[in-house]
Amino acid sequence: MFAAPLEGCAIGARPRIEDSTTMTHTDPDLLKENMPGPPLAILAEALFLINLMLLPVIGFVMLMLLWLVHRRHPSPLVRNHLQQTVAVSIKGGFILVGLSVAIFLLGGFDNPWSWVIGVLYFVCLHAALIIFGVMGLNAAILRHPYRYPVLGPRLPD
Amino acid sequence: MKYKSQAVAMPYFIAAIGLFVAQIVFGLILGMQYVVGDFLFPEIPFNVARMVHTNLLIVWLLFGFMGAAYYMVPEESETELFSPRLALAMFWVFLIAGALTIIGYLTVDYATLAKYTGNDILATMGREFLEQPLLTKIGIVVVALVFLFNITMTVLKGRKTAISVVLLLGLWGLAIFFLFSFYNPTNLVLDKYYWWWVVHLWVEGVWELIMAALLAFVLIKVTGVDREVIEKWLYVIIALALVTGIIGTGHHYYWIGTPEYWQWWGSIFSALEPIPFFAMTVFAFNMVNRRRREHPNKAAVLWALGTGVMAFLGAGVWGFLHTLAPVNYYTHGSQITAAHGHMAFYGAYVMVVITIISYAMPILRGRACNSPKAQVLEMWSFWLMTIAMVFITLFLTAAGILQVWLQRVAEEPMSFMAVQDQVALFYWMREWSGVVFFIGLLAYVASFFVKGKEQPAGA
Repeated sequence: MFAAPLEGCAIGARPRIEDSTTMTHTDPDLLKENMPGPPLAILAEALFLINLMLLPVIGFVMLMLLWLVHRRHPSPLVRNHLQQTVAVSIKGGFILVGLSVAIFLLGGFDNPWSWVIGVLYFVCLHAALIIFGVMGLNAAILRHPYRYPVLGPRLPD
Repeated sequence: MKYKSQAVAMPYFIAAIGLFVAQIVFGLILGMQYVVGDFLFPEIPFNVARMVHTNLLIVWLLFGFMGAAYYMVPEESETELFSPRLALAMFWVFLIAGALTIIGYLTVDYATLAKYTGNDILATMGREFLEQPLLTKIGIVVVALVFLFNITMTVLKGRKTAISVVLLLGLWGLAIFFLFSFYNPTNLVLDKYYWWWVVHLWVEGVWELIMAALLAFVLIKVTGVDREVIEKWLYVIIALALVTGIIGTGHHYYWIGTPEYWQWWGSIFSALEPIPFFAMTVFAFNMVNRRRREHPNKAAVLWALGTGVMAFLGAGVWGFLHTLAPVNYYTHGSQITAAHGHMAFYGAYVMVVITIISYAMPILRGRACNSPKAQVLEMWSFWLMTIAMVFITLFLTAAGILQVWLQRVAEEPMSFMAVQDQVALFYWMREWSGVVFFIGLLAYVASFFVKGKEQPAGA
């Protein structure tokens, strides 16, 4: 049978993340079972992605409001995700929009090379921020802390 | 392996990889012809090389999908395949028909091929991706019907799971939409309209279901996450794919003579098309992060994660880049489309087929996983091919933006061929990236032959 060799071959069983993630065959609950992380942390990461993908600016304003209200939240995990998403939204937004505008202003709108460099720069950085956001969202969903590569503030030891 | 009949998947996988190699060889020839126009002319003209390159892609992916289905369905249905003999017979029919078609493309001029294969009885040839002669198209339908009969009967006699049902839905959709390749109205607008029912509703419709099912199957196996969790993700992904993808067909109808409302419908729905790919990325990362065991087949896990990311980038981000009607007005049919096509096909379909091959092949060869040495080489091939594809996409995007400017935006627009000279530098860089991709592919093939300390099945 397939299961036996696979288990024999496995380097090691991984401990379950949390007991609350255990699924039952009778009563699976999409929200509770699939998202054991704190809703505020998940919301922060979701707003980070919404700002990038669906509602630019509006998503950012909502994220800032969330941060203003909950920045002293007792849960370090919630504070971690709020701090990371706010910091990366501000820094990322600046280098994404600011440098793109700079490329066009310096190169000129009627210069094809401004478009080649500007569009490629914007698309690549934008996509990278989304991928980092996906990792952040997953960390929040699974109740893990997360630091955005390069732009995210350092995590406390 | 759990069921003997799963073994029929192996020849399909081997043929898929062989044809993949051939596809990339023709890709390199084509890339060279972009910069050295008479390279291999008249032996392999550009139009023939392009046709072989794209047709081989479709054929090898179909071999991969069929192999994947023959491997997955017995395990999902917990029963032997309805008829392994039929599956093997169809393998040879499909392989021989495919090989004869490619030989036909390369040895006979296209008009003569059309004349001798019955195109005057029912004209179906001459359209991009659907260049196959009538006989080949009929062969594809026969193979697809027998394949679907075999797979459906297997599912019907065994356990029905969400994964096998979604896979079946995707495969039936694939066969049904291919039937529109036989409808070739003389009105060019109608012709294009229905041509997209094959091409678009395949790659941005039913193929996404197949992809999601394959990914879900492999993720259940390599992560140990409960089936219920993965199945719920699967429902969300396929719902998003169909809701956005079907009306998203409208992004192909902007400038072909269809009513103007398609510019709104196409823009709105295809702007939403990145969402299922985004969900797939979250899905893949989420499942791997919550895994309950460290699966020894690290290469398969890497391919699965890579599929999520690259499908989102290629199909989602690069698709969105030129999908809105006001943008597409300028970018339509430029190298930006080629950039999107390359990364989307690689990220979504090439990688998912390699994911299932990477997972299943060691088991089909009687071991639970390949040796660490072989896996390291396979992971090298992953990075080489993936990074090379990123660069191919970036260079083609740069070429496309410059092309759009010089050909369609500049105050004194240049002709198509004059612009091709202007973007040649990017074509050269694309060609070198293609060489790196080919080296990655050779490394992938070599990984099958690397010996080492393997973990035998049953150990």
